[in-house]
Amino acid sequence: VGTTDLPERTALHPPPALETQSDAHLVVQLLAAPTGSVLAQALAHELCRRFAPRIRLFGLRHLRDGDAAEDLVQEVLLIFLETVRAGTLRDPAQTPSFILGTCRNVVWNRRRGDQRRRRILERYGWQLLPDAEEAPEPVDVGALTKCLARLSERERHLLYFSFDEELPARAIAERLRVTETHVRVLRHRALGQLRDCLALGRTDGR
Amino acid sequence: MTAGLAGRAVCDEPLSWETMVAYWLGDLPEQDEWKAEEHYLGCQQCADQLFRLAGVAAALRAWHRSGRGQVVVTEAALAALRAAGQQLLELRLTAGQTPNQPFPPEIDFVVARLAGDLAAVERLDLELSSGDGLPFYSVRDAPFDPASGEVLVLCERHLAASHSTLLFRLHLHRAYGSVSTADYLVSA
Repeated sequence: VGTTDLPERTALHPPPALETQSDAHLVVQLLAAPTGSVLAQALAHELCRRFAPRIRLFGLRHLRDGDAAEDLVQEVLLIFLETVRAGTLRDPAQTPSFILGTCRNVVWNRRRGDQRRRRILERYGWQLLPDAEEAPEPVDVGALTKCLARLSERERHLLYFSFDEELPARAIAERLRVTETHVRVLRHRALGQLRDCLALGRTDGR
Repeated sequence: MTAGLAGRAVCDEPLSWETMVAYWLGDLPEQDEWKAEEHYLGCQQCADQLFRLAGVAAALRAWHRSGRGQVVVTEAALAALRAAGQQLLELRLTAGQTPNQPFPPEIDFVVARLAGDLAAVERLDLELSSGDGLPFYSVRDAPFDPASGEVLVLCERHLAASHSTLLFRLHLHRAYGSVSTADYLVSA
């Protein structure tokens, strides 16, 4: 892979026409665009802009580490662009499946101590460095405290066990002396209330 | 999901909030996890929602680990505070005794280890008050480990030091409606 084939970080905002197109349509156009052309650069950048935060979510979920998630984003995007340019992505509509498979492979390889990742990142990683604003949205501590105060004590205990101690539903059910099903219902309701309360705080200044 | 080639995909089967929460907490069966991942990797709308959940989850974790999140805590929570460089003053208290214990300024938290027989306890409520017995903080149905033989209560130092006497009162609920009370005092 030549470094000139990769999208440049300076092209942060793609033409509006690209922003309104489906992922698959962008891939189809990238397959047809001359390598190294302005259009190919813009298409590649728009695809990276879309997929980077989604891949980062996958990384945060499976690796539980922000830096490792950033590395995953770069490696998966590089493999994806290489595959598109090589013409070996058979069905553009299956791009999410391809990305998912690549994410899983990279995480699996990472867990096996794969050295290839480091070599790739050392050579090309900087070019696909994700934008800082795509990190999980910071939550105001004061607003969080107020919103948590609106929950019941049992709900607060539940969130504590879920997010601080990272206990599975079964263990939480034993601690709170309720069923696992009840834990799951309480948990998603409490988080929904918290999400709505925090969103309301952002919009009305509370 | 409607994913026409010419227009940007519109999600007409978004992942439910319940599914997202279960996914983020590793509580989905593997096959459902795979489906959820394939969906949000191709769906900006659901990825945005999941991103919000990730933000709330990260904030909750940080909030709890700052010591603000919980009064009745576990050994794991104390270990996390120690690992984060917080200075803990740990007091093992026995019901009915009143030790004198200054709270030096360099500590961040006071941990009261309230020892007692919890084996048959079904529910536990805690009240925290100054010496006058008027509670300024209470926790109903606090989680506890019956086998441990102690309840761990975490207080920020400035809270503990602002009272000449701290009273921890446990209401221990056992079978058949039996309730007993245990008082633990500490004087600064």
